[in-house]
This record gives sequence, C-alpha cells and structure tokens, in this order.
Amino acid sequence: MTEEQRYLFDLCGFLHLKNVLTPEELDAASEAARRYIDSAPEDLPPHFGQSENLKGFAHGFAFDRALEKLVFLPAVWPIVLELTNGKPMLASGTLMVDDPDGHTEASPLHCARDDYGFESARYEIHQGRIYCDDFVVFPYLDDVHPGDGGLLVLPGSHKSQFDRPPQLFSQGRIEGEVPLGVINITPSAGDVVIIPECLTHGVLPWKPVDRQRRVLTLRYRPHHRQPGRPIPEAVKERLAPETLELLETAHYTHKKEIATRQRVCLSWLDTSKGK
Amino acid sequence: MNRGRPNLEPDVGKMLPTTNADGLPIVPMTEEHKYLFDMKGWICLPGLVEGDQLAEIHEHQMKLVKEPESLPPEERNPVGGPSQALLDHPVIVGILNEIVASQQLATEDCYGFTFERTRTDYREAGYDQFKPHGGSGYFNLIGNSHIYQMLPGKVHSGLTRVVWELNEIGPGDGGTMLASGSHKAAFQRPESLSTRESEIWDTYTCPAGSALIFTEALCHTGTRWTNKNRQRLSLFHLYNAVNSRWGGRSVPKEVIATMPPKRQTLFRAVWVSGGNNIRYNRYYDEDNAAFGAEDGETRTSDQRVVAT
Repeated sequence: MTEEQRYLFDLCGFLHLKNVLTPEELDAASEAARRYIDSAPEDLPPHFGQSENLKGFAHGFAFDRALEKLVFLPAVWPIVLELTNGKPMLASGTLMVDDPDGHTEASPLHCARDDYGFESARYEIHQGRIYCDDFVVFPYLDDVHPGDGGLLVLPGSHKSQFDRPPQLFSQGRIEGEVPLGVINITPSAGDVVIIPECLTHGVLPWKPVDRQRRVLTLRYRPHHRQPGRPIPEAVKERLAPETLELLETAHYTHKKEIATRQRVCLSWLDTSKGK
Repeated sequence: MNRGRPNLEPDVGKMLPTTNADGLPIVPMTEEHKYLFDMKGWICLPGLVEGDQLAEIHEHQMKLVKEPESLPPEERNPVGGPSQALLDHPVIVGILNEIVASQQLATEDCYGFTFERTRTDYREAGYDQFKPHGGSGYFNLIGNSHIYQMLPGKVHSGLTRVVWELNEIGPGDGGTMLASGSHKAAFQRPESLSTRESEIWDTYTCPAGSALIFTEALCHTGTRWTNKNRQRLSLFHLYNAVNSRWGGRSVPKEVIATMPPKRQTLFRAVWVSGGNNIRYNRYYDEDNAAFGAEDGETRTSDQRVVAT
C-alpha cells in the first residue's frame, strides 16, 4: 500500500485505483461475466443464479477462473493484507449488475454502522497501518460515465461520530442530482474501487438504456471473523487451492500461507474444473 | 477512535447563553450541521447577514481597508463599529456553543468560549496565498490549540475559524481550500498530494454575508483570487476555548469598551478557576482582559490586511 493510497483511504474512506486489470484480464473477466448473466438458470452449476431483485449473481467470483483471478489482483493484494493485518479472508464475491433490461433501481445510503450498530465494522490505525475488519473491493467490468448512475460515497463518514440524520441527503435515497458532499464515483472498466463497510454509501439509479454496469463485489474480512453466508461445497470444488485458503476462517494466531506472499497466482489441481 | 463517555455533565446546555449580546435568541447547531462538521471539518452557512446590516458592515470594512482615518479610533478595527455584531451572531454562537464552549465557564451573561483575533482580507485578482498547512489535529495534544477531540455524539473543535465572506464567492473565484476529513487524518500528507491541483481539496461558493466555519485542526489553504470583477472581502475570526490561547494579539480595549457586557466576555483572560478569589472565569473587566497588543498591518496593494 503506497503512502498516497494510505493517506487518501484514511482521509476519504475510499480508494479509486485506475487501470488495475490488464486488457487481457478485463476481456476475459468481462466475457465470463457475460456468459454467467446470459446463461439460462437450468444451465448454471448448482448454487449459481440471479437474486430476486435481478441485481446479484451469486458467487460470481467462482463462476470462472477469469473472475476468480480477481480476488488476488496484484495491485490490490498488498492493500488486502494491510487492512486485514495480514489475516485475509474472502467472505463473499457476488457479481452485481445494473442492466436496462433488469435491475436499475437506486440503493439508499447505508453503512454497517447505520444498519447493525457501531461495533459491526471497525476502522482503526495501528503503528502506521490501517486496520479495517470489513471492506469491499469492486473490480469494474464496464465503463461508468458521469450521469450514468452507480456508486455513491460520503467521504469522511467512516470516522463519523454522529448518527447520520435521516432527513439529510434526500432521506438517503438519491435518485436525481447528487447533493453537495456526496460523490458519485465513475470508474472505467478495469478500475477498482475499495471502500470500508463503515463508509456511508449507496447507488444511483442506472440511466443508460444500452449499457450495463457489471461489478464484482469482493468482501474481505480478517480471517477470525465470520464469513457471512457459508460458501457451498459445490462452489468450493470449483476453486483453486489459494482461493480455498483465502475463504477459510482461522484462529487469531494463524498465518495463512498466501498471506506470506506479496503476489498470489492461482494454481489449479484439476484443470477440468472451472471454465 | 471511539471511547466511552461517562456522564459527568448532567447540566450540559443549561449554563450556556440563550441570547446573544443584542438579545437575539441563539440558534442551536442542527443535527445536520453537527454531522457534516464532524465528517468534513467545515461547514459553510450561506446568507447569515443580509440587507442593511450587511451593507453597514461592508462599508465599515472598506473604510478600514481604504481610508481608516475616516473612522473614529474605537471603530478603527475589524471588530469595531457595526462589524462587532458578527462576533456573536446567533447562529455562530449556537455552533460555537456546541463545538468549542466550556459549559462550566458559561452563564446566561457570559459566553463559554473566547475570541482570539481576526483580520480583514481584501484580495484583488492575482493575489495568491497557496500555503497548505494544518491537519491531523485529532492527534495533537492539549497545548497545541489545533486540536480536534471526538466522542460518539460530541466533538470539540479547539481553535476554530469563522470566515465571514462579505462579497459573493463564485465557482473558481478562489475561496479558502479545505482538505475535508484531514482533521482526523492519521497519516502525514504526502508532498505529491499537496499541490494546488490535488484531489484532496474542497471549497465552497456562497452569497455575500455567509460564514465558513472550520476547525484549525483541518488542513487548509488560501489560493489565487481570480475574479477580476469582484474582490474578496473577508473577516477571519478566530475563537478558542476559555482555557487555551494560541495567538498573542487581542483587540484594543477602547474597541471592547464600545461593546455590550456579554460581548465583552469574549475578550476575557485565559484561566479557568481560582483567579482573584473568584471561583470561575465567567466575567470580563479591565483586570481580566486578554493580553496582547493591537497589530494593524497593511501588506501589498492587491491584498490589504487589517488585523486586530
């Protein structure tokens, strides 16, 4: 994690990293996501499928190796190690899609602190490093232009000492003009955005009628925290050993082997699995 | 960063003035302003002073800049004459009551915070004051007034700036630049992010008569004034807690003498308890006035500065 990244993440509560995916990685991940989205439900492997509100595609990171690879992006991995204090765990990895033919609705401003209490997501500084026990890495597979919609963040809210007044920012449901103080992040395909779950965030309605917004939502936590919903065994069977280790919970004192590496490349024991 | 807060102040709020020196009711800081100030380290309140009052203050400040000898001695100061009403504007007092005031040092007749100093800035197009400074005040300790303390539901802003914009600030004009959130920044600002073009800077636009309020714990800077058709005319009021002082200047006593008693308490000396056999520092008189000498100055032709 660079000095600039550390300062900006601490100051604003988010990082927008540009051109993180190589053109080849982006093409492969984009094609895999398209294949997942276009598949008929009966053609999908067990436990894969679209959510009721049409926005989420379960276990998107595990659908294809090109998507699985994104959990260890070289530009992001050192940040994951710092924020988890060297104890990384992937808690979930849904593919989120805004689509003119599917989900286009806004999501109101929210954060873990608002929804689950102050203790639900921590953000602290220790010995010149940032610790964060619940954060999300968003690799973008499509361009988002100003005016399109997409991710909203409230910079600085990760350290707020007051409860957000419910009436502020259009009662938290922002569908038109973005109020002063709120930022609409508009990444390009191949960019990555990182936010702690204690940062107040939301989503604008998706406006384009001919384009999608496809984003992998990779949720990381320290490995001694609960992962959330368990990942089914049938999904795990598709994954590389490195990813399986990343998914594991472990004791505070445990050191994962992948956490000793500055760069993690996937190896597949059985190349017939996955794609 | 969060710490528990024992309930040691059951009378919080009950000792703070409910009216200002002109008898106007204090406007409590809103929940929205508390949230935004804590999150960003600053807020801008548009149009607090308008009409005849704004015109009077504007005229007073321009005379101070251009022809100070035309003013009587007791008005020859940025907080003299009609401009003194800005010192304890009801909205400003409501905010300072929340983020600076010491509750136990206030009464209905005495403010719970003090005034340090001010200056009148008159900037014409081309004047440049880009000098980023401050930030990370949360990590400063008492003794450095540039502090920011916070607990769930309560903050203390330490040395606090209230900038009165007496002319409109339009987009790109060159108002004060602020690094939102930097009052809590845990890391030193990298040089690479300290340029004028850096993504860390926020600013504001506002009509004449507005107030920008920020904690001096925040990283901030002036910048180049670009509007060729309108000068920047601003007052840079500085407030502090009763038990703390940063600067060595104050306002001349003949200027303070023209003020109502409650307003004069802004200029009392820096102590809390036990002085002159009086239990608490809740009064102003000539023996209990803030130290310091008048320090008027004029810099260059494109930025005239008149300080207290």
